[in-house]
Amino acid sequence: MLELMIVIAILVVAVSMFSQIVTSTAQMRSVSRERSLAAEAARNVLERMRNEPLSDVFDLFNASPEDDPDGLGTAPGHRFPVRGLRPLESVDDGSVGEIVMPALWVALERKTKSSAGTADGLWTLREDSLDESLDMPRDLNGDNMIDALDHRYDALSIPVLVRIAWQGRYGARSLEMRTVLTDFDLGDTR
Amino acid sequence: MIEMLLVLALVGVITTKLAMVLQQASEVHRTESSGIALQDQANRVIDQIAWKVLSARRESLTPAPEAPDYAVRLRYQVHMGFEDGEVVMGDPEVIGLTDTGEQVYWGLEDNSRTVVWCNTVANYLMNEIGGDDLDNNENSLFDEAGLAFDVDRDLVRIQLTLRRLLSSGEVITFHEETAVTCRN
Repeated sequence: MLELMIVIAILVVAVSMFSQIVTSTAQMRSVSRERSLAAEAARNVLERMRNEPLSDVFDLFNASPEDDPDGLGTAPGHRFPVRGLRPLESVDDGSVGEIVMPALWVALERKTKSSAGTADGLWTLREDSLDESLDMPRDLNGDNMIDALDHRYDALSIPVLVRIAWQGRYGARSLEMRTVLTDFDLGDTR
Repeated sequence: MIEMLLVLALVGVITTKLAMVLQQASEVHRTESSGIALQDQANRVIDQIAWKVLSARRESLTPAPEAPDYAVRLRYQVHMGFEDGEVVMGDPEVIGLTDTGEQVYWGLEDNSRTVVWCNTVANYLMNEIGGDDLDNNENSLFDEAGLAFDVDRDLVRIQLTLRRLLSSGEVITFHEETAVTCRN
């Protein structure tokens, strides 16, 4: 009788260990798949940014719809969804990805109400941004100086951070990818 | 004696259940393993294609279809460097589907070298129904094959769906896609 009880106890422990291993393997696979989707999405966004002329990158991928090259709200903007990843509960626009560039908001002196209903001002690409995640401040237009001007049209390099934050099956997760976009074709664009 | 019989019956039930659970787990594991293997293969092939396209010269890409057109085969040349101030291009290379449509291959255009990268390509991309002239999977392409290239200026979108029939009769498919800009 005692032997049988011991056997049953061992069986129960073995089954519970086995089921734990199966569960944790499934969890790892799910987490790995989510991370793979996020990494691929971040890479795709960087490739799409690389496909644009450097002088258009800031206008196309910043937070403001008002400076979109083809008209109000026509550019991809700085936030994007990723198929297969759920947005965080704190995000209400359904996006999971965000593009960060060294941008500063500058209030306009002229008091005009913007068509988007936001405060009067514009986003500018700045060398004096203090964003450490982009290794700022730094020279962006190759004049060996760090100034307080808008360099969206004369930057030779733009540091970019793509951040993906999503509600994973086993909790909130995030991934960041950084690069520096540069304009190699200096001859005919400057 | 009755207690002993009860315990034996209990042990018998538990053992049978355990055997069933193990069998089911084994089947699930086999399917999962095949899925992971297919996913790894798709990732590897799409990376191989992406690296080739990345190092290609944009002007050498033929064809260069824009969506809704697409190609199942790309011809390209790689920038090898400079000699006497002139750009030196590599021999023309091809990546694409074989005529049977089941294999992805890379090779030199003159067929002096050919390497098959995988042989489990689906007939159509995932969620696409062939022959209905509709964009079922909403990727801007119509009735596209299991490997599809389309180009937007310097950006090449690569989509690949692999399919495998398991010994249990179950079919597993995996889709992978990426986009890369030609650097040269």
